Amino acid sequence: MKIPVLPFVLAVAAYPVFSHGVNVIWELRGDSVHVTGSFDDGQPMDNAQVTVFSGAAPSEPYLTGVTDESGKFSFLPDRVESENWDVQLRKAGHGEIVHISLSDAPTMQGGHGRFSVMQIVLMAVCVVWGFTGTALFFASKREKRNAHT
Amino acid sequence: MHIPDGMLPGEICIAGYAGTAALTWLCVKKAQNTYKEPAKLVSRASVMAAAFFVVSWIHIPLPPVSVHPILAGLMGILLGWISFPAILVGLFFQAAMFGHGGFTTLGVNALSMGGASLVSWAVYRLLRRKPGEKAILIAGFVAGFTGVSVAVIFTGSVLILTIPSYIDTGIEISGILAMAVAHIPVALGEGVFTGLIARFLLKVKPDMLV
Repeated sequence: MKIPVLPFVLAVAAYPVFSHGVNVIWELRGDSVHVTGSFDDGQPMDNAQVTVFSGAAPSEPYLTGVTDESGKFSFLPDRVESENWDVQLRKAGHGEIVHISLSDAPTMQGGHGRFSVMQIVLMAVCVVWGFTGTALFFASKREKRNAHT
Repeated sequence: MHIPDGMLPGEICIAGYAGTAALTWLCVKKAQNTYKEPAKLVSRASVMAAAFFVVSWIHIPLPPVSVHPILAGLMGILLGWISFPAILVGLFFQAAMFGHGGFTTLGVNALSMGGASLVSWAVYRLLRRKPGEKAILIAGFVAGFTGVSVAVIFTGSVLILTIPSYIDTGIEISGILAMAVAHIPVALGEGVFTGLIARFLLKVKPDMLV
């Protein structure tokens, strides 16, 4: 029984061009929140539309704006209104929402970071092996059934 | 074009899930009634889902955007009714492992790319009625081209029609249209690739073409 090799080759060969997802990190400096958006390849998410939502009114935009050339945006959250904020970055249908909680520490940062290349390749190989194992399982069932008939 | 979480209103996400559930049920039912050995297609679907998982993740930079192949057309002509559930599974793993596409938008993404595979397959079956290698080459090309085009048009339309009122509509529409235009080379490339694969399979293993 042949094991399909092509998906594994693609999984490893694809690593130089992992880019498309969005990463947003935030940092609280003093009273201001500083948000930085970038794509997976490290390119800044410049001129992305930013929408800030307060925890007190999560469906109404508190503030809107645009990231600068470096993908950065800053705003001053009203702590009286809420300690929890959501910030959405959006550009041509791509984007990310980060949740910011101001109550945990004087200075804080968070967001969605990037996987390393090794992590990505390992995860891809695991998933591809899962698919391949499924294929082999059903193929072997068919072979056994054909052998009996 | 995978739509991430947070881009679509809740009602659209729910409608996407409802549509995907209905189509999945329909495709599985059709597969059971149409194919003599549906299990034979499951092993092929697993390999194709793996290829979809990996290939959708190969991003081609076309400044200022980046695009990726979809393989909807090829999956349609190789898997038929099973292509939709196979793409759904691939999309789930992409969202789970890499956050490529969202969970709330999984239904809409499945309708986009899975639906594109079914449309491609239908177009392919129409065109391949003519015998011969040339006809298969053309049918395969059109299927591959259609797969990307339908997915891009569907996704772009959903994004444009659901732009929130607090977003600058002009900027967002321009960005989405730029992404759509950037997929034209991808559609042509997939068309050529699918056509060549279809012609090759016609020669060596014609029963693989559904």
